[in-house]
Amino acid sequence: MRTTFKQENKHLIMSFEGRLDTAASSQTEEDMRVLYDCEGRDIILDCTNLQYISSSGLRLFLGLLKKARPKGSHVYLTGMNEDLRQVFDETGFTTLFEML
Amino acid sequence: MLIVAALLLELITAVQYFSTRNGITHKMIEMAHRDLSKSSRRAALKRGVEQTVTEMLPTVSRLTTQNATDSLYLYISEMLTMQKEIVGFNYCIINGSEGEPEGIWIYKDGKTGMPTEQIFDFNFTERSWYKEGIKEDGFWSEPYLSNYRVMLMSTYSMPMRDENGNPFALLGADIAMRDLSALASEIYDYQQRTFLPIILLHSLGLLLLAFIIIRGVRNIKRLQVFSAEKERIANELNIANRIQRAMLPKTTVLPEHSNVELFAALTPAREVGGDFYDFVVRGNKLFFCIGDVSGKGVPAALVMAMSISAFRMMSERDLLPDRIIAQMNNSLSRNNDYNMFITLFIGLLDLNTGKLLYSNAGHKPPIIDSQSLPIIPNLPVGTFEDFDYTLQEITIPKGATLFLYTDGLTEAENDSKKQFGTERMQTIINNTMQEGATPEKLINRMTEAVHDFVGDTEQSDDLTMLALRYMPKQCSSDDTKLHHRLTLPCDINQTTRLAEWIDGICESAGLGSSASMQVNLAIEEAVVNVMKYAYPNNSKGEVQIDALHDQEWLKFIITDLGLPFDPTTLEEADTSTSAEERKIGGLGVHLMRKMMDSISYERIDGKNVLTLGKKVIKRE
Repeated sequence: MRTTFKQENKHLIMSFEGRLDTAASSQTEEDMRVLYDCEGRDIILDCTNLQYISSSGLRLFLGLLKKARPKGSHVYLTGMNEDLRQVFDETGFTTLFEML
Repeated sequence: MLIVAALLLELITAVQYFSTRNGITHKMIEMAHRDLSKSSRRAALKRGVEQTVTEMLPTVSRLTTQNATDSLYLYISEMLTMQKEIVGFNYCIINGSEGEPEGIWIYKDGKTGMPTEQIFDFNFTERSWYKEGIKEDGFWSEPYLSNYRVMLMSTYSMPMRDENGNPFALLGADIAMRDLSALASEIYDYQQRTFLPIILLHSLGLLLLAFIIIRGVRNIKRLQVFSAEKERIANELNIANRIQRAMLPKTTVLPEHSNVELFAALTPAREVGGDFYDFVVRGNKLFFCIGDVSGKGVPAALVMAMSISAFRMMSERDLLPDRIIAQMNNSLSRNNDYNMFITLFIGLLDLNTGKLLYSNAGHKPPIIDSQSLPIIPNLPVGTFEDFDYTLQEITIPKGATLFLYTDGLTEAENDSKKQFGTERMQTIINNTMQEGATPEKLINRMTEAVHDFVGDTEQSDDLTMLALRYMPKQCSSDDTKLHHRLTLPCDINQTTRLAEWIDGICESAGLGSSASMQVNLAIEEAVVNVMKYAYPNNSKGEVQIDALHDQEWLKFIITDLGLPFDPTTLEEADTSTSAEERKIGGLGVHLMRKMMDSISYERIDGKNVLTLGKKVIKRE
């Protein structure tokens, strides 16, 4: 599991690559801390190269959403493949996040 | 009372016996004297009778051949009245009207003395006066009792013969054995004089006897009721004994992989007792206990039954020893009106590591090899509610023997009131250990030693022993038998290994990438749940995953020895709520359900067994 973070036009973008399973979740949680300082800037989570996500990963996404939204930030998801999309659908996450 | 009555009866019998005996002796002497003086007279009498019969015979014979029966009877009657000594004549014809012998007795009536006719209505041919009389010319019969008069008689018979010498009729003359009958009546006379006192004494004796019998019968009845009751109780105790034995483990043979040799023995002092032991292997854990309920007999047995089932129930819930004891203590203390208590030791041995968790409630410290196991005594179960029992821990070295016992062992007494004691016990343990003997041998030897020590003295307390030896073997590799088995240590960083393994299985089962991902997701969630909840706070343990598949289904069986944990009953996340209301958690279970086609949970032998199934839809 690898994450890449970049700032671009007032957006905070994090790209995920690989499997976000339970084993990977604690490191990923650390990686995602940088997004907590969003200060109203929108966040884009790029899932184009994310192969897999388990509930541990979903929790990280939900945790981020709960922190960012009170600060006036939007959290967008993008690039999910069909299988991932199904997981997000099944868990109601597609209605929580905004899809690009 | 009984003795007095018996003596009295004895006395009465003696008096009667002597009076009768005296009477007879007295009369015998008298008769002997009389007979001496009479013998000549008797001979004369006999000759007279013989002469009369001989003289009568021609007339009787003639009247018989003339068939002049009336004249004949008249003639005999006339002769009878003239003969003072003769009491009667027997007259018979051998060929009667029916071709059978017929006969008549013409005798002097007892009251009037007048001749009376009586046709024989019995089989007189068997009488010697007839049988012998028709053969001999002149036969005196032995005295016999007359059929028609109460009288002892002797008969002189003579046959009448035709010209060929064949007898056709018989005449007999009877004389009374007056002497004999007189003798008898004289004896009775003598007795009658002593009759009243004897009767009185007899009545008294009988009265006494009746009294004794009535009392005796009453006592017997009471005794019968008592012994029936006793028998009933004995029966019930016998059944209770069997029930109680059935409560104990039926075998001391543990599963092969359990790394432990174990043996136990219980000898109750009475039919039922308050000692107990129990053990059960659940996965890689051995729960065991030994207990001693205060008191003996039925009350102790009832509490014992309660305790052993409580232990079994709570060990099934995988509680730790101190918790099991605390709960038993609370339930017993609450309703302990009779102040019963139990000394109890509970151990929980990890069969893989030798780690022993234990808690003690006032029980004698078990012996581990040659030392006492370090124990905090706490309090016996049933004394104070909410007492905080301590959990202790020790690692049992390989090959070590743990010996548990109740005080029936050390306090076994011989007839000089000496106790078996811990020293003797320890010596036997040491000797047996040195030989490397099995727990069974140790207990058998200890039992023998106690028996030798106490000898014939009655066993005063229940005697219970349990010994176990920790013998870890090399891990058997079950894994190679099943191709699709993965055993993971309890560490969430192992999920990557899990994913690779699942991918391989999905590949060989012919699942597409989407289905593979779904299976991956569900199994990961399940395994992570086990690691988090069945083994909380990073406790050590393993999760075993078996995969089976056929044409239709791909099944995963996830097994662990952790705390009971049933994910299927967990509350699922509500996926319709907004982000703010969303709880973090419950997602895993939700995903397991959504991604798989079947899910079921069972708790088997102390194991959590979760089965997840996915229907196989082959790739195009």
